[in-house]
Amino acid sequence: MTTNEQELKSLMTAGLDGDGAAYRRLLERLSPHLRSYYRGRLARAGRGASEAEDLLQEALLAIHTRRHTYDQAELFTPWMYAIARYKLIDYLRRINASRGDLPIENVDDLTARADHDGVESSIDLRRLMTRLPAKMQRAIQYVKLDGLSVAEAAHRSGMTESAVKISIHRGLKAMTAAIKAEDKS
Amino acid sequence: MKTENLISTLAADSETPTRRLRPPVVRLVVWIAVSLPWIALVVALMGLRPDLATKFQEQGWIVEQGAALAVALSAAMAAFCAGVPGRPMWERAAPVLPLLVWLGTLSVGCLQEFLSAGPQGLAFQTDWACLPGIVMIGLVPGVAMALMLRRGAPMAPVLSVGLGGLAASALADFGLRLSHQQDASLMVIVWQVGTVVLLTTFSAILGRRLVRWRHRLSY
Repeated sequence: MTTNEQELKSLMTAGLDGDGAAYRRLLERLSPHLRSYYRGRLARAGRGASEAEDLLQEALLAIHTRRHTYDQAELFTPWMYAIARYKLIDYLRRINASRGDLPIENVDDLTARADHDGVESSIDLRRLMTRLPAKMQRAIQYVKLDGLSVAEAAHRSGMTESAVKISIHRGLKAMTAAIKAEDKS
Repeated sequence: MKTENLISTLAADSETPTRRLRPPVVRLVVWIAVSLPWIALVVALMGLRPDLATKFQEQGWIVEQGAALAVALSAAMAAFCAGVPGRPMWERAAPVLPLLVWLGTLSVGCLQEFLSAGPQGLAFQTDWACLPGIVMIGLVPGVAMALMLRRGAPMAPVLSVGLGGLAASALADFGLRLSHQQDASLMVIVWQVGTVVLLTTFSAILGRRLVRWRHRLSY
């Protein structure tokens, strides 16, 4: 058992026994681990750092509300990461479901809002676009900058219309997240 | 809300000792202790089957009942384990083997009845008594299971509540066969196992509503 595991386990055990200070130290120790975990995982899914913070808070709440399920006879870290992993999967499932449920006619509204955020942030759009995959860059360039219709952009890029809309949506979301991250730093 | 503020709120909420969830095996014992008296009561009210003493001499019947009981116990254990984060995934598959034994024994029974009596051995009749019988006998085991599963963590709500439903209905079927004279293997498969499958599916569908995380943040 590592020192880290031992420390976390003893803090958790003390917290379950009603030691609020130990419990606070536990949550403070867990936060950087979980933040880093979520940032890494969400970055791979093309999501931003602000979502990692939301997810971190959800995980802390879940750990808190289900802390009674921790068995002192077992290791603490696998228990904690099982909850963290569940919350990540649940989150990704939710955003995918909401994206799937999104009526096609609402996509323009969503992208327009996201575009508006981008303009207001006064950050160089083209610099941000270079961080996106080529497919997303092309979709945004044709529709949002060159003013082509989705059908024309699909024809020019060799993608389906749905793929163009999804690429625009995801690309603008990723850019919005990048803008927010830059504003914070 | 800032994460630091959230941590302060949660720490302030944990200044009294927390009542721990008991280990799955202890919870299994509690569930059995709550369920058995009810099953005994309902079976007594329905009346024991007159040939029960004879049935205890039949190896096939004993194996079927043993397998049904094993399905109930292993499914209950798996359901309780699924509600504890970080436990091994293989525990959730615990009922598979007893389930195969149960269905295998009944299938062999069908084959034997066909070989000994021909198509007559697989005669099919309508018997709606099994559904209300299993529901009635499984009422307390089912409710107790639902309440106990809500105390766990909803790591796999559909699976854990489905396993809970399987446990309660298999235990109820074990009780039903002490009272109900239905031994033709095909009939047992269709009406009794069919009811168990139906209730398990119904439970799994209810899983996400029954066992859920509370205090979800909105994005």
